[in-house]
Amino acid sequence: MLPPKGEGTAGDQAIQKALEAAWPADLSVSDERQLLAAGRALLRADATGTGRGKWPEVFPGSNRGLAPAFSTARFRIQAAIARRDGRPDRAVVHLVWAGTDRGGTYTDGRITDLYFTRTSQEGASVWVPQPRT
Amino acid sequence: MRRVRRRLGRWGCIGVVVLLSAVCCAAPVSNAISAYVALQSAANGDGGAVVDGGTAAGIPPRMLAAYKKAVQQVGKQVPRCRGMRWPILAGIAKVESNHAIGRAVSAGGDIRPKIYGVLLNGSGAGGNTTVFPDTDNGRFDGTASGERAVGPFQFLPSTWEGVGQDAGSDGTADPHNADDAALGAAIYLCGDGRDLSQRSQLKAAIFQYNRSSEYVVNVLSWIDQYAAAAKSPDLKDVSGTVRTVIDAALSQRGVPYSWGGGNASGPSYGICCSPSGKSGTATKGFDCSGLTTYAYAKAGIRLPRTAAAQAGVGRRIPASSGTSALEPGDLVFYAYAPGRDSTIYHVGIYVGGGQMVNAPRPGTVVRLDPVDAMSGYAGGARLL
Repeated sequence: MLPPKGEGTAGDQAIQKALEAAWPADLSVSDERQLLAAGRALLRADATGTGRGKWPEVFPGSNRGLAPAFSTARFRIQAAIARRDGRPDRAVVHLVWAGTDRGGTYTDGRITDLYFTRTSQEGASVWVPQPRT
Repeated sequence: MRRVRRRLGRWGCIGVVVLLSAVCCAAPVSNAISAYVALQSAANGDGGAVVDGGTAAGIPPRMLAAYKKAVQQVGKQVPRCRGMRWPILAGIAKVESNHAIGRAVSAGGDIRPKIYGVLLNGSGAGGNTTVFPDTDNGRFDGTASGERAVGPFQFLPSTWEGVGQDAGSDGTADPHNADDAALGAAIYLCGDGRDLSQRSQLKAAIFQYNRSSEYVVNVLSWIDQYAAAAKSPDLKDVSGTVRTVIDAALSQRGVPYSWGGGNASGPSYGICCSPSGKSGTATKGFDCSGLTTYAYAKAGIRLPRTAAAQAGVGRRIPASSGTSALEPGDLVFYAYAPGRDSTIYHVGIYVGGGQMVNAPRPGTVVRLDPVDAMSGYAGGARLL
């Protein structure tokens, strides 16, 4: 059964399994791996500011500095899956995560969907993040 | 009391449960808000504040007064600004400083000890790796070797130079003063004359405050919660079976959450254990679906025992219709993947005015919360 919030890392595995059971894998292993790596990095960059420089098209002007919205120390991705989003060239990374804001409030079970489009670069397929609306 | 070993492999509602009911329920670990009912004191670990008529629980009255005062004053500073309301300022202050809770606020609004954010000198503190050159020689942030965000609204001194105003007519514009800081934040959010009643403009304003999409999501969630908590749900037009169900649930306010607890007859001892080892065996109370089971039983309706199963009863109100489609008496669901009911982790009962009655999680009690207090809104079910 699904854990209530506040269970810490002990509940994360249950959430991951629930996501995988409810939303079966529909991408190739390599696509899924690429997407998950990108999705996790993008969420971390957005929430904590770390690593924004690697995604200049998503975070323009990141060299100007940022006071992190969520602390790096208590940021944790609890579960994540990458799945098709309608068309073969579209995908979504669905993440469940925990973080502490600057006021000190810790909340887990936060849910974020990040969307990607597949493009071809030098013959290899690359997933490009779509802007957040 | 029997110990039930739970294998991670049975989710939400399978209905195969042999011995005891499946449990559920969760809520953000953060303090949820209830304006309608007095929360229990911090002694029960929830950190709730006693409601003081007209205020939203969780916001110290002097801070709330500062936010309301800023709303009154900002029109003079940014005449074209529309739609500024105190929940907006409260949402920002919540995530920036938790309303300066834990500090003293004088009658004049001065906050002590002063609130300083991490030193932004590129050393990596808090994840910041860019140097912010010192601009105020320590006047606001107490250091000449870099910059810190200051005060309840966590202004950078350089930003404060551009928006700081003296709200209290004491001759200074001080980011450590609640009134001045709230007015500064309101001015900053108003920009050149935004219409903050437009969601897109409100989002743009918050994004300008901190360039992070997740920051915007977080602040909006608090704004929505404060806006809901500011109204008391009006039950005068609710009658019949719906009223019976809501009254039954509300009658259990203050009863502790118990993992696996609650049934059609009322609160009961729960089971062991949640994934992190929290046990309900010593607590007589309700988990989220136990509470809904009890409330509906009072109207003669027998619900399945798990939250996910309860989503299969009655007429499903899709998440895509938004929370405004809910009516009093509806079951309200939350899922880790909204749209996929087997990932439902929580259920409550909608009472109107953007609020639900629920048993959130271990360590809490049955209470009212805004429907925006939980992530993963997964729609409702209408049985009545």
